[in-house]
Amino acid sequence: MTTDIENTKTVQAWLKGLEDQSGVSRDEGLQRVAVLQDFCALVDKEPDQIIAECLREVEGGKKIRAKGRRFYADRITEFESSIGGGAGEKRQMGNYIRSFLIHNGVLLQTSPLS
Amino acid sequence: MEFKEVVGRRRSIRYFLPWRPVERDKVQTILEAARLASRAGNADFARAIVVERDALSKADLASLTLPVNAGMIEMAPIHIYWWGDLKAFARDMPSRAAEQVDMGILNISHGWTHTFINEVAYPQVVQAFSSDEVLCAKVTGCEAGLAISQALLAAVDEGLGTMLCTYPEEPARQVLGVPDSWTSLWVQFVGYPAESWEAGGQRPRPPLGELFHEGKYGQPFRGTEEGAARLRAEKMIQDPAPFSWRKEEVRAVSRMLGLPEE
Amino acid sequence: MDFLEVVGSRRSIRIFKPWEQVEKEKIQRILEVVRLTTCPGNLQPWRAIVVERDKLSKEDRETLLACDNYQGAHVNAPVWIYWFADVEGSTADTFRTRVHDLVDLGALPTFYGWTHETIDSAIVKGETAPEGMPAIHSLIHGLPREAAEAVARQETVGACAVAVLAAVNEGLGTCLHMAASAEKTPDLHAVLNAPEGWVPVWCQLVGYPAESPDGGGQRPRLPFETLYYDGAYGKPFARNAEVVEKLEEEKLLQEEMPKPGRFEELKHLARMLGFPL
Repeated sequence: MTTDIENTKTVQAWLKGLEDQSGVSRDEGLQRVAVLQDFCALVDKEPDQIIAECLREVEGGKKIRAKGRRFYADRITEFESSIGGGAGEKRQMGNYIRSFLIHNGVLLQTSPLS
Repeated sequence: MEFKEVVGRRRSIRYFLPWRPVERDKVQTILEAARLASRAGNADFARAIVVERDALSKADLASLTLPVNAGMIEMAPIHIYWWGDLKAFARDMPSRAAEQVDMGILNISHGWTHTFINEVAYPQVVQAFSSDEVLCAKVTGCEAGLAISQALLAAVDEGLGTMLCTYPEEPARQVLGVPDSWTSLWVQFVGYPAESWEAGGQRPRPPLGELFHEGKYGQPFRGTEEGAARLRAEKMIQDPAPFSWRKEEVRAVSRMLGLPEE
Repeated sequence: MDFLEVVGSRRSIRIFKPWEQVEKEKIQRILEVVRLTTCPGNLQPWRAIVVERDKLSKEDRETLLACDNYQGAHVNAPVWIYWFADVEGSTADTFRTRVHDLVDLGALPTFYGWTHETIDSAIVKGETAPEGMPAIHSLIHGLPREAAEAVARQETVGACAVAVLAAVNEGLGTCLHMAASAEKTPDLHAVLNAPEGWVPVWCQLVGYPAESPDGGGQRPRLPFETLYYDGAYGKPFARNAEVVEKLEEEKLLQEEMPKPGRFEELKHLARMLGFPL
């Protein structure tokens, strides 16, 4: 696995989505890329690979691979629990990874925090 | 609340306060409103199973969850699973029509008699329903939809947030023990909104004339500016989305609930 | 909203949506209501400076917040109405002018003794007011400045109670907050350019509530019987259960706090607003 994931197609799509839809600056986005990098290390996958496992190409677009999405949803939950800090901070980190999937077209919802 | 304001305020609420229960009499009000909706042949098309989220086992909740309803299903304390009874018309129409003849609801002046129901309407209409699946699904969906629409408005009138979403038919049939002749329609989520009731403003809709025509297709129905002004005064037409502070609100509410913000 | 429901629904709202601005018309409507409230001699000593938090310079906002120790509610409320008592508004001379007007307009009946002459001789010369009038010769004649200030304050406090109800009637959340500690009062005056004779009374915070508008239920109140007496102290004013029931129907009396879920709500709001949990 390379250490520089910033220039991958899916990370670029994420950074652009963060900027366009959510008004998150590139600098701020890059800090989140560092969190994604930790997640990638946990699952031992490249960002593009993660998205490829959640989406497959079909005629006229893409389809979600339910199995892949479920797999990564579970890994994100594990990732959250492996992080230090309060429930809110753990969730925040997990949400950065969810955001990466979501901005790449992988619809994903999560339980509200109690 | 005045009727027009209820219609004007209705919009899909997607963030609920997970911890705030809905009073049982408000749920009853929603169901009563649905019970009184218009329906063909006075038949029982609209059926519902009310579920308290907290009474569901973890496994049952998981069976009812889809990627698109996952957030709401856990936030909304009340789920109303709406179904359409595909057998309703054939089963109910003859006896309900007869009853309405006896009650003076369906009358000679409009051609209604027991003879007509038993000898003409039954073979012509009821049997058509039993043999034509497309017709049956079309009418059932429409008639149940009328009831669901009133249920939505009643929830708004009770100060609740509400929205319709999809649910997985077969797993829901198993969990809720629903008969085979019922077809899945929508799940209505009900709860107190975590977002403001405006939810960012009234949703964009094409102008009247683009949707509705007069005389024949292609001649747009023309409303008047005074008509629209009156509806604004009566709060049926409200401030449109987007509100200037909407994105900030969504961020705050997402943060509160631990959902992805950006 | 019906009057009793407004009174019954009023709570001190302390958690606002910082992002939702309050319509200027609603602020005007609050101010219009207060303008018509009751006060002795039609003095109207209240003044207000309306401040929109997000229109302040960063420096001024910091100064005003520091005056009040950065109270949580103050920080997240979008509108701050600073209510002042104008000492000049309740001097003997102002009283005299205003009651003259009330006589001329027919509000104060001459058959109770109110005339320009009786007013002037009582207030200016200290001569005993005729029976039928209040004892303004002792109340107002030679009124010292401190007493005028006390009157201005007390009448402004009364006006604030009305301002709070007016805000609730507009569907807003509101509460009265300390405006400035004694040593910070000059800072407040400087930022708001308030005249010297204006004494800060309350800062009314206004905004849309982020907490449930019922604020988790009605606050505990002292028992009716310990507050009110019939004829003389010692004989409690009898509280009729039927009246209580009727007032519950009319939403004056509502469920008391804490309602279920209140602490859950506070935890979520803290997370939303970035306060420590």
